[in-house]
Amino acid sequence: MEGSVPFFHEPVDTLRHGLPSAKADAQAAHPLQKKMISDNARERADKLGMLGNLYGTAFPIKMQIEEQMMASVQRLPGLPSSNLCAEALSGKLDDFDFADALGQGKDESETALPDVHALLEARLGVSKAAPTRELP
Amino acid sequence: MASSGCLVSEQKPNGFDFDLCKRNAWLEKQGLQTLKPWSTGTTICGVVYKDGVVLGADTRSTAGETVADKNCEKIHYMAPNIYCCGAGTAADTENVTGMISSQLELHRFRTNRESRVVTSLTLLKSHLFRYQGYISAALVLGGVDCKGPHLFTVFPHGSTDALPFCTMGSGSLNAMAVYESGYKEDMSKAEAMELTKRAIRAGIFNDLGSGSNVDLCVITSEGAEYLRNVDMPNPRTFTAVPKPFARGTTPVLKSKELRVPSLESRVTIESQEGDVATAMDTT
Repeated sequence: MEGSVPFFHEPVDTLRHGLPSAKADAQAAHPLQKKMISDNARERADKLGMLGNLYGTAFPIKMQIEEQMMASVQRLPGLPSSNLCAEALSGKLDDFDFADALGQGKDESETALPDVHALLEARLGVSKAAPTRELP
Repeated sequence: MASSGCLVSEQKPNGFDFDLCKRNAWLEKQGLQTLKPWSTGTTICGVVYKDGVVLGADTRSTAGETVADKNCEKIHYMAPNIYCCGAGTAADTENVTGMISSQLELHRFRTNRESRVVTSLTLLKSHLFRYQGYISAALVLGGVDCKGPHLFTVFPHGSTDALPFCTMGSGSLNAMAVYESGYKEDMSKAEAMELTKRAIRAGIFNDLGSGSNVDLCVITSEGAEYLRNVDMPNPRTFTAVPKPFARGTTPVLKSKELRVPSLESRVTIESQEGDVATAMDTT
């Protein structure tokens, strides 16, 4: 497929991402967006660091090995997954966040079945979609 | 987190989807007026007395310059011993207090103990700080736990204050004037309730964003007493009661009497043997 043959990809979602602009794409759509992404990473690093200081480095490493084991048990992308064991280990089972209150499906405007093939292609990096213009 | 042309994307972290923010910003630049969120331009207050805490709130919620709800509830349940008054955007206060209330309940199941007021305070302030003031919820949090009565204020950006009496909302200065002149330590329950009612009434009559009735919530170590509409200084005296019209007000042009035949002439009802309860119920 590569080479001189024109390679068609799926249309860019202009309504969601606007007209292409290098400056706009590098910036977050909303001031909170970057902060929430970095917050998640920072909180995780802080927690592991604190546990390592309290109980020794073996403890967080063991925790991460268990989390990887839980993450390896997965369904196809787009299908609902309860992640029960992962949440119980991380303590999120006792937590209640916006993700549990918003976007519960019955309020969602997009209620079509997930396109499992397209999502899996995107995850594996072999999709025909346009390069994503969202922040990583 | 790629959408790749399909309609359902993978799980969004934190439940938030920023996909349409750029589009909305562009639309607003073109002059589109978005819906104004319902806010509770409001008077809420609380005071600590000898045995506990009294929280008070008015009951008007506004959408811009119109009253959206003449009798809304601004005192939200957090735990059996903790209640929270909310000012700011109505959706934000209701949902934030609802979420923290759920977290507290899960925490109670896990620890098997009564919730402490400082727990709910920490959960609220860290949640509000996380969203950098975009969640416009100004709260007065009060409750009684094993350490005694507590009263706190939480501001939308996540800062908190611990005070013997406090007020929030657009009518806060009016209510604070009443509190400052009338507060004394170790009040009785009746004195504290009367002072709070006066403070809320000051907000109701002197602030446009507050109005209608007074709600109170009295929390002691025995439990909480939610007094809804304890004072109604704005009754609607000219309620329209529809007068029944006399027969003949509308002239009758033509009348036709239909006789509905009784079903017994068409249907024979057989009595069934056996238990009536086993017959199929179609109600």
